Amino acid sequence: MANLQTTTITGVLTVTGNMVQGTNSDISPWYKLSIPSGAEQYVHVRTPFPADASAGIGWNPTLLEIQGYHGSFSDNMYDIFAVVNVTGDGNNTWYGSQIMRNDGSAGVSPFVYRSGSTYGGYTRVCFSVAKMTQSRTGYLWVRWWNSSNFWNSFAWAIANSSSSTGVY
Amino acid sequence: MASLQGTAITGGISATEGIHMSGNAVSPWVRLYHCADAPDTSPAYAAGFLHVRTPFPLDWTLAGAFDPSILEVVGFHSYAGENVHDFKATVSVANFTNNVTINILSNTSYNSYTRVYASDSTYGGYKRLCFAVAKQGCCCVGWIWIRFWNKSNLWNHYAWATTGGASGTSNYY
Repeated sequence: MANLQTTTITGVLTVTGNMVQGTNSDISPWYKLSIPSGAEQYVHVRTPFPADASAGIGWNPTLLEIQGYHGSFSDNMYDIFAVVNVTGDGNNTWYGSQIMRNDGSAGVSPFVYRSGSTYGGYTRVCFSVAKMTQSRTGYLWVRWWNSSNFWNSFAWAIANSSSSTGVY
Repeated sequence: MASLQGTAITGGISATEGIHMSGNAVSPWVRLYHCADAPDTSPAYAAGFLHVRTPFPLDWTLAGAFDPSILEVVGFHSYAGENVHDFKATVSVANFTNNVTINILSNTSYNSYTRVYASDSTYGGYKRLCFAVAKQGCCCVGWIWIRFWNKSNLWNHYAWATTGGASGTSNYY
């Protein structure tokens, strides 16, 4: 691994992997997911972000940002900001689905939730959004602001469902 | 300082202090904390404001004459996101007069009460672009991220500064 000091690149920088644009800024790279084919109304994503205070995020909110689309003509477009938090007082209380920006197309119904099961020892931050009920192309891009080091701390997962809740 | 030609990296890349996309004129993100200073913890500032002085100089010889830049701000304050900031403002400086026109044209904030203004005083010889956003009356956790589009080279032209205050409509710089 190369370690460089301040570096200027004349031309284009192409990175095949993920680019952390400033670890001091604490913003994660974008993570891209492909929406699976299927007739279900919702797609669910289980992110690696631990939803437990014991992982160090108690009383330390993070912003979950989601961009994306579904449909050959971008019938559904996603542009979402959610505040994610758990209490740090030992109760480990989940602070629900706080959608602060939902600026995509109407009816995408974002819902952010804590997984019902644990994965790798922690519950995980999950979300669902509405999709087309036809199999169409579509992608989601997800990133985090604050505590961004969790962005790849566990495996990502994605699945379709007829329900907006309860997949993970 | 290393200077490379067009470069391909197979794998990831991480920069501790940001990546300046100068070819696209987009600055790195700068991250600041909402708990600005000691007086900020005073109950008098309950439901108060965070004022940020950016390095962006409001002088047409540097910022360009009628060549607007975009200020982008993202952030939150306190545990449940009682204040969330998510806006973009254009900033235009007139030639010779240095008259400043500021328009907040994209704003999906929540309880932010956003205001962008020119500093009354000069810092390093120039008035600077400043803004105020609402915060909770505590020194609670909360971060704010800022970047510039167009004159992105001005992102570190001078020192950044923050202060807390009871008013969002008064100029604190």
